[in-house]
Amino acid sequence: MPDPAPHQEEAAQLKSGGFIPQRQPGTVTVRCLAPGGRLTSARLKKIAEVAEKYGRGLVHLSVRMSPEILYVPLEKIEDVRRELATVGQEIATCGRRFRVPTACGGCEYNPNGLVETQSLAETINQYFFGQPAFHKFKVALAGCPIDCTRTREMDLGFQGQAEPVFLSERCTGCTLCVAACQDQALTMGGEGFPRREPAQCLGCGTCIQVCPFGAMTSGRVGFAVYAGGRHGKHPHVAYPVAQFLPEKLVLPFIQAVLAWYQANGQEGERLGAVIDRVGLKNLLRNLSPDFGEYLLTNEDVQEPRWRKIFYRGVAELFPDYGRP
Amino acid sequence: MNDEINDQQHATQQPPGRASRTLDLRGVACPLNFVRAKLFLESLPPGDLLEVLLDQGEPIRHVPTSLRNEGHEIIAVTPAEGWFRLLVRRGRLA
Repeated sequence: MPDPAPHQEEAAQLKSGGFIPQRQPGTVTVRCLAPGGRLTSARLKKIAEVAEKYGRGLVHLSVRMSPEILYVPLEKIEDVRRELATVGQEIATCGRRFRVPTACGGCEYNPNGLVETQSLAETINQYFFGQPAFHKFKVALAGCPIDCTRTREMDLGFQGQAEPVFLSERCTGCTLCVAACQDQALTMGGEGFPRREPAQCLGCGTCIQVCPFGAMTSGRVGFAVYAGGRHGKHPHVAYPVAQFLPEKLVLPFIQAVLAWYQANGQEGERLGAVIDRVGLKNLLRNLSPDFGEYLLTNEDVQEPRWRKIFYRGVAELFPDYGRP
Repeated sequence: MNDEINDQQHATQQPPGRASRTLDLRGVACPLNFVRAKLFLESLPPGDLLEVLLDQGEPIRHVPTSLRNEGHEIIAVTPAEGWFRLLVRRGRLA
């Protein structure tokens, strides 16, 4: 029979500060803050040192990219906080707050990456981390549609995409782009040039990457945005709500969604539940003045690419987007 | 690497006016195909032409770009039945 957990209120307070009560009485797990899952070696060394000094030399890498120091005695949490602070290592959070954003490597070093994700995760964290909300609020950034960070399971997910632009004067008709496309979005046209079908195109950038002659170049680059996702006991796939959102509008977009969440939600409701209760078109109408040109419409989400990106079968449950 | 030595000995000669040799990398998985192409190109004098045969799928998606990043020039890409013929000019590498 496991030992009883600490008193519920006490546990909630601790958890809010990133100290998670363990099964073992008087012991907590310390969740370290690492936006985008990035750590310097100095912080990594200090985490290891603290784990050895106060815990049992054991660290767990959480699903949201937080290093967690296990088996820390409750009476030591301030010492742990102070020692980690000497290298700028902060404590993360739990509970009904804006959580640490997760992110892949993005275009900084990943050849597939189409957008910056790491620096954006850091900025998002600085602006929004720890803000109280009706429930946990999880954001993830993916550098491209390969989507290693599962943006469709997030309250807000931002997935990099690039729109190919074709320069016929550079094309030799080699068909490499057609062979490389995994979504049947490119076919060879009558003139011996590739023809792209936008309704099939995910904006993954593969054709741009493989073209040896610079004929397939990058046009618009931005983020596809997914809202209302969650995992856990009651998974909910996020709805695609916007495309090619420019990087400079990501923070205002998050701000606007949080404001709508605050105005329309109820205590204990995740964003997805609010969207389903109040209506997606309500959210989109609210976002329209500032982000209208990027928002998806009912017609947009009938396109094969959104139904393909969207989990098969679940696409049949698209709500009303408000605008035809 | 044995493959590298074999490539230099056995890469087929082409008629004059075309690539000096053909390197057949069909059936060779990534990244070995790129590595072999890279090493073979490095063994050629700058400006030489090499024909490289690559499978469709992963090989043709990655190898031409990787060779270009190495400093070689892709002159032509010709599709065939389930594979591609790549004509590469050996670059003036640093």
